[in-house]
Amino acid sequence: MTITLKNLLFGAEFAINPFNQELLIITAIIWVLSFVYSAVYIPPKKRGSFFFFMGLMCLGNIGMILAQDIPTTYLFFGMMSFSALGLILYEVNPFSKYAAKQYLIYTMAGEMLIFAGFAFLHVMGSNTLLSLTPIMIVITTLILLGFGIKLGIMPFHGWLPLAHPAAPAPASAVLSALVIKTGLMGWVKFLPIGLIEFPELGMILMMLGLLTSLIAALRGLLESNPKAMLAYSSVSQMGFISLLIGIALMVPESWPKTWGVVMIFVAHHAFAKASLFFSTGIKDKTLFGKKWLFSLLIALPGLSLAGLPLSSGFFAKLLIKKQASLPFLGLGGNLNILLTLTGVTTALLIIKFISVSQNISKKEASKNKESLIKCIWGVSALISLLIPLVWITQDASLIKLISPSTIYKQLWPIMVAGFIFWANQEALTNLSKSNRSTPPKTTKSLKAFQEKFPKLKVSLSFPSKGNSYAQSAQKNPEMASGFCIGLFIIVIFMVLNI
Amino acid sequence: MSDLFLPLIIAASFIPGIIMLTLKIKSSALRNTINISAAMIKIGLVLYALTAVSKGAYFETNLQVYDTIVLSLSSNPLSMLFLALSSGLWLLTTIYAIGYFHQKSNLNRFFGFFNLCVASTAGIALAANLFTFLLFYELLTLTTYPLIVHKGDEESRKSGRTYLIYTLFGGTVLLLAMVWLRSLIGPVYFIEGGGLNGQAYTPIFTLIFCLFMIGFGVKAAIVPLHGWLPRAMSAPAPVSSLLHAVAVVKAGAFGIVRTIYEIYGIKIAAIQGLLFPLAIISSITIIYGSMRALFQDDLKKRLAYSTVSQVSYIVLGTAMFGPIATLGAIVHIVHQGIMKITLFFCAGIFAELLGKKKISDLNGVGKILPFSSAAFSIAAIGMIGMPPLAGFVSKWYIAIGSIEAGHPWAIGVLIISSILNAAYFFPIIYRLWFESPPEDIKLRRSKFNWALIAPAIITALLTIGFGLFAATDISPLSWTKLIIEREY
Repeated sequence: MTITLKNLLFGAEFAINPFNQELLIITAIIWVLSFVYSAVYIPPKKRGSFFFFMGLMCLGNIGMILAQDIPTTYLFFGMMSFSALGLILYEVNPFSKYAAKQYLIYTMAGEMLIFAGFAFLHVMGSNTLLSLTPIMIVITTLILLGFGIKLGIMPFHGWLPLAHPAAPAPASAVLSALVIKTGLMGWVKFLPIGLIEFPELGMILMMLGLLTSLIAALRGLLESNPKAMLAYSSVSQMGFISLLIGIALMVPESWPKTWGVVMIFVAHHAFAKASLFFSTGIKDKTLFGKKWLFSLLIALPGLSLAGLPLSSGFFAKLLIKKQASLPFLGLGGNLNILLTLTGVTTALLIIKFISVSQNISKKEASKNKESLIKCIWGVSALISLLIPLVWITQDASLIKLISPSTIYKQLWPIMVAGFIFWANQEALTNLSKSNRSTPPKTTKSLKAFQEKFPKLKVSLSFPSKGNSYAQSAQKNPEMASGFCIGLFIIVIFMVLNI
Repeated sequence: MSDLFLPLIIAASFIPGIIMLTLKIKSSALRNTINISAAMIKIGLVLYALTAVSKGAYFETNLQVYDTIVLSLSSNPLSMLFLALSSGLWLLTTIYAIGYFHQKSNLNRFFGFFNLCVASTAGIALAANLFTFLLFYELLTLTTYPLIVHKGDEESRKSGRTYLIYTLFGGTVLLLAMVWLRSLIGPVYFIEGGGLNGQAYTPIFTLIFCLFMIGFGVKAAIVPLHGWLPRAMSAPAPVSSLLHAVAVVKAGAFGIVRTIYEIYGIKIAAIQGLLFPLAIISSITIIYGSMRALFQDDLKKRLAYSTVSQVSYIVLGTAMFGPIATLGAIVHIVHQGIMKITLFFCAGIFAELLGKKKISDLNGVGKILPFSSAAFSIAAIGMIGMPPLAGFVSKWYIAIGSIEAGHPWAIGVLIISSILNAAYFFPIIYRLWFESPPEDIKLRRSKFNWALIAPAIITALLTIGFGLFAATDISPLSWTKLIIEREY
């Protein structure tokens, strides 16, 4: 279905087609959940500006998905990107200012790369991209980088761990679940994925994706703020999308199938992440008065990100593995080792998130009605858990993926992670505690902000760049040893299993 | 009737100007009535002319002064674009000025020269030959001087002096260029597609072209001839608004466009390799202006350097030798005009209602003056070139035009400038909306001064409209497409 609005901008064209219909449905559902959540969560005093920016971002997000021509896409993408600034500055404090500044730098860089790429693409026509010419490489690189910043592929992920903690929970939920995926939309819409073979670029994207998913999850372990952990988890998960697009660039014939996997992965990640971010806004950490029920409803979508058997992540991860071991890719099982390793690191990050998010609660007994918030969170968690059923009704062959061996293969990384966490619990929580109690190594701008605004005494519980793994390891020798033991166990499992 | 029509448009602001200067009107109500009605009449005439011209009508007036020296006015689409811009913004600025000059003296003098200034802008727009153009161009210089020194203090007199030195220098160079060119080819008329058909292959024409660029470059504030513009900031806000948006800088840019397209003709000028150096100089101006703007704490100064940068977008697009880049350049005359006038309106409102002239003092103004702060933010984001605002349309066309013309490096210039624009506009927007206002902040006058605030809101809405509905038939973009069809 195509709609052309002749008078909007330079003549805008919107369409619903097989490439965006699924993402559109996901987007619509999560936005509705998020708006209802915000209606309760945001205090009346702040509603005006919050809903202004939220509404603009929603318009931009949906417009970006629907738009088919270059200027209109750019319009809505920009609208979405810049309105997020208002959400990051929801509470004005030194941290959010720093986050907003960083976000602005990344966004501006992305916008400009996309602007240049689009200008070339507009003049040369999309047919230029069908052959490997220098100009095609320029355009592809510009668009890849521009949208890659939104997608948070390392090393362009810097804005995510800052923006997510600064924005209020419902805004982080849409930022992480939906907004970053528009980067993928940009790639798919404008790059000749599946049409030409570009193995060099495909290889780069695959390697970047793999590294991103491995490193980001480990880096997330050093955070103590639950939302920053989730942000790193998002970065890590977006690595898989980069990986899949890389595969499609290397083996164009695989694109129809790969696209199906991408959409399954996007749906899985969107609902799981949305429900996890929704949970961070809840102060009273019980469900129906029971604490374990609450933990369970965080743990299930959370661990589904690590591929918990029978969850949405289980299918997504298995399909990715299947896609990555395509015979003509020439990588064989090597890729699977790395993919399994990311399963371990992701699980470790999520387990830490669960344990941290439960510890924070007690001091603020909730006074406002949280039942609606919890309801929204519950709904999103349930969708996340039940979505495999939808997939199976659509494609019955998915059911064949369920077998004892696949279940075992997906389960053991989580168990290893659980074991590592249990063995190093003290070290890992110490790491968090040391982050919270001692003033973090702030970057220059943060310090400058503090000096400028001595009134705003906000405890900077968010570790920033200076807080590297090495420093933490020095403080906590047991931490380092713990990791070593963990890695050793992983290696043993790998040798035994794969 | 059609013989008198174009002079009538000029007279619509010339006569009230003379009335203001000769009859010392005591009653402000009478004065305002005359001003507003004159502006309305003019807009009516211009709208009539616009519809007629778009249907293919052509107005012309020739008045022989002496021998071959003819005062000649005509209505080609490029003229009408500039005329429509100046008369539309004139009405808004008049309303704004009425709100701004609240119980201040010398208003007859102010509005008198103000009207004369707009009359000369209309003359510049409608001029059909170089002689008429320069006549009104010099008249513009002389009528803006009293406006710049209106406050009468030491600072404004000093900046007025600088302004005169710069512009009279530019005027002299132009006069030299005109006389020289005339001695070579006779009376110079503006002809779509260029009047120098095949004649301009000697180095002398190149030299004359350089003289034209230097002459017009003064008013268009091209580096290194931009020095007067930031200093002219001591003028009252309505003057700065008009100076930056339409009257002076645009007259310079308009002169450059006319020289390249309608005296030399884009093809001839390009053959002579004159446009590439011009493109380089305008690129330097774009980046230099933005860099300087970054370090100004005075709001009007920052906006002034921003103007230096933005006006050179027009020159850059013009120098690209391609229809699409030219389209971007010409449409930027209008778009930059409405965006910059919004910014200056708002800067004036902040200074007048709150006494805040420095950017570092603007904390939390958005909570006190939400409408003008919103207008400021919209115009600033438009200046950065974000869709769907007007600034994006011109930037986009200059960008794709530069690729098409084989100068893709210009995109780099646009990108650097956009990033710098973001770097100097976002901190202001941040202060307006996200900082909390200081406790001692006080309104000097009633904040419901609609004469002051409404014009800013209208131009901000136009900024959105011109961008969002760029494809409609009545948008400046569509009109500019009409111009381009005739030039190429």
